[in-house]
Amino acid sequence: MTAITIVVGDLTSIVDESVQFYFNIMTKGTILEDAILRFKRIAPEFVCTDCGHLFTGRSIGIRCPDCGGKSIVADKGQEFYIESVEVDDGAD
Amino acid sequence: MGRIEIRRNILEANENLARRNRDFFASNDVLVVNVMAAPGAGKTSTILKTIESLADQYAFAVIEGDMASRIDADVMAERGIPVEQINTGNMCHLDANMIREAAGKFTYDRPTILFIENVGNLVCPSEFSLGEDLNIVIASTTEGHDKPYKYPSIYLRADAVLINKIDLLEAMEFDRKMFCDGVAAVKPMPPLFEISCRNGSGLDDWACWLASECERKLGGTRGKLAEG
Repeated sequence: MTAITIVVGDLTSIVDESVQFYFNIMTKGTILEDAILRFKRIAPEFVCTDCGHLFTGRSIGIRCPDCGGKSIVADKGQEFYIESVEVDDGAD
Repeated sequence: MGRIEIRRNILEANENLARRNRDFFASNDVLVVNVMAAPGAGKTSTILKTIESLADQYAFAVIEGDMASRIDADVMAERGIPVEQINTGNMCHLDANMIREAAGKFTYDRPTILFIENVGNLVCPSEFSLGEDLNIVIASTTEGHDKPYKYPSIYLRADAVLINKIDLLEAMEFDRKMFCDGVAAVKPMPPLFEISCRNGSGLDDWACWLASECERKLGGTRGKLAEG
């Protein structure tokens, strides 16, 4: 069995179900046909450029909960990468 | 089970090509402006008006991205502007590989501003680097003031925001403050230009800003060449 862990930030436009759908089509008949896709979603984290406060939030378009500042920069949530692949190495 | 660390960006191939595009543009004295907007916001009109304003200072080229048709490319070609049309078929955005092919077809014999008119879409174009220097987002009063709240990711990448059709602001009951608050909530407020491609208002300020960005990049390149 092979398992692939994909990290996806919640601020990207990447939809897990959509990636899974195309993964199934593209891997059909290949060694990855039965591979499991694991999605690790990363919640957005923001930095207030006014006061430096670091905070989590649901989406962009928010104010700093500390100082009310509107200049917010996303620190986490824009990821889209393969973190790891697990393969059967016969060590079970 | 053995676990192998990968930690590789899934869009890495595109990022690498975008980097190569960037080198290509830098060595040819080209400033590249990626124009993103919803369909009908006025991308083509804005590009045309900007070229009119700066025609005596720079050479221009345009890459048109649409799912289908050559309508915009024909408009550019009629005015003698070098243009390449990319038809993306069912794809909703341009990527670095498409730009590499199209950009290689122009001749760059003097400092050039290359406009890439991305596919009309406020979602996917924001995910794919093309090798551009500037990302601009054109909003329009007709599409409403709530778009930065609904499509924040495109505004996240904006180096400048234009509000087109500003002559219709009152008729459309466009709330300027609500729009600006929405953009400022996504990132520190980028330069904002209120323009009307119909009556020409605001276009001088925008063209002036773009020319200064161009000087910053190309002036620097020329300086380096002179030193070297």
